[in-house]
Amino acid sequence: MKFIKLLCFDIKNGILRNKFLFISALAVSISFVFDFSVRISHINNDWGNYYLGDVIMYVYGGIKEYIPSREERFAFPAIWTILMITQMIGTLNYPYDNLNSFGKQILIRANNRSIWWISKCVWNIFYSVFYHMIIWCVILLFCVIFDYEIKLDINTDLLMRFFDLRETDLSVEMINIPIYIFAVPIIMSLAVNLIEMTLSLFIRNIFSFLVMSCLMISSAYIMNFFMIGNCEMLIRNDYILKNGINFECGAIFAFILIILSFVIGAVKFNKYDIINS
Amino acid sequence: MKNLLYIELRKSLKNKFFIFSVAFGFVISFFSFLYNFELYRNEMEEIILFAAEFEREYNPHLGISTLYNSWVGGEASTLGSTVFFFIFPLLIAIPYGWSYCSEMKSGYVKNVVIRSGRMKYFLSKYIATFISGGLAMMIPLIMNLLLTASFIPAYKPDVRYMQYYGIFSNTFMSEIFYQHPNLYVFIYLLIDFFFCGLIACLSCTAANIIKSKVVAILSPFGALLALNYIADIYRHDHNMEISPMNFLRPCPVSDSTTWIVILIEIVALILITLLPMIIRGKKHEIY
Repeated sequence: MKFIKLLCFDIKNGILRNKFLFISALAVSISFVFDFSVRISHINNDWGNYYLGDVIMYVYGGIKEYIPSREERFAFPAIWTILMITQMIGTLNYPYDNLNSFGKQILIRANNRSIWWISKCVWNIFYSVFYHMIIWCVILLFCVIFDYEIKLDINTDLLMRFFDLRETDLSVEMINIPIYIFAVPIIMSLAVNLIEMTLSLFIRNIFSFLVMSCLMISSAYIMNFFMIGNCEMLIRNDYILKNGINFECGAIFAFILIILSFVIGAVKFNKYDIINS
Repeated sequence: MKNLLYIELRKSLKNKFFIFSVAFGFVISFFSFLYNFELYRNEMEEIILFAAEFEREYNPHLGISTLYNSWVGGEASTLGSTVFFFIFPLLIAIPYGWSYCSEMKSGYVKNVVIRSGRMKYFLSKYIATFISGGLAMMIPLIMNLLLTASFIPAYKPDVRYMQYYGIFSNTFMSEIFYQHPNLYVFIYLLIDFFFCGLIACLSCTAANIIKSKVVAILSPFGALLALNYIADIYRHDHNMEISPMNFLRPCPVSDSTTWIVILIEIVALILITLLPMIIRGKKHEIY
């Protein structure tokens, strides 16, 4: 009962009354689809149909693999970075503020630290899902308005143009991309947020944000399964790129990270000095 | 004013966050040094082998690897350099970006203003944030430059190898780079210092609106990311770099910038950061 009350409170204050969540998700998604439409307007009409999958790929695509050399410079993917960093900022402050204000009272009265931590983890999951849901809704609305086909297919020409790919880079399995693959970036971003929240129990929340930002930009630079940002970039999927990252394994890896950060956070929080936090 | 400025400067430069920022920046840039030093050693080994095989005493390709394209600011292809120039808005705001917000919240500002005056306090705070932000960027860069210079010789850049430097005929200050590379580095360090100082002051502007320390520190980062995205859209039609996240690198990532862009952005930053402080210094009711 206490847990349900606490969770309802967190959802009400941390999500439904959270202006930052709605403003950031709307601003980010509207500017991305607007940008997409501008870029599409510069392109030949002979390129066939455009799909919902194209817009999702544009927003969640990320960047192709970078091979370091003195001649080719690395420029981070602006759209993908904003998408992920905005979400990380959104989940950074609420638990910390809560703990530093009436959260202490709740902890004393509830006489159970675990429910506070579980509530914050569930809140974090809801936040991520809401954030991506808003973005997906805006994308869907955009597709309906501009008469794009509501399919998760991908226009190969568009993909190659936007992500600077060659036909030889693409996987032969591209025509059979399972729908759930599009959900993997969301599951992985959820894991990233939970890791960030757990890390902020060990170091200050601004430093945990700094560490996670470094990790995300390193993921864009290094194409490796264990750099967790890779599974958040749809373009690096092995259904799209030859030698890409296996997203099925990525989803399992994300679940392991979620459980690990939850358990480590719970253990740490049980001994956490809330008075001097 | 002098005393207050001295106190503020001491607080901004003698705190653990400033030391953390400088140390973190240096560690990140050290990864760039490690990669470039390894690259230089491999190239040297090849050159020595080449010289021995063909009995030549001089190899004209020495200019490919020089200090000016091996220090963290001179290259844009290593992980260290990428991470450093991505997180610098955070590193420059961490030392003192939180201070103004924190002192407003705690009420410390009321005690100081009674003794010294509003304008003096706000200006001292602004200058201290500016200097700590500028130094948090410049010190790691200078340390990396000195470290790299200790191992990789400062051959004068040869225009024939321009693809290895990433500085072409139409690049910003390319003439200075090929004629006076030390002056080029010096000018860039000054631009970085000035810009980063102003960017760090964005957190003071944010603190006037938002009462959260964390948000105040994150605001320069958020602003630069947004500007970088706008620059990304703008770049499709105009081949000009307007994002400070890219043009504060002495080695351009994609397009080159111009003095006009730099001056316009400096003026804009001064207006955004200094004006609210002056207005607060004149009119703001601190109680």
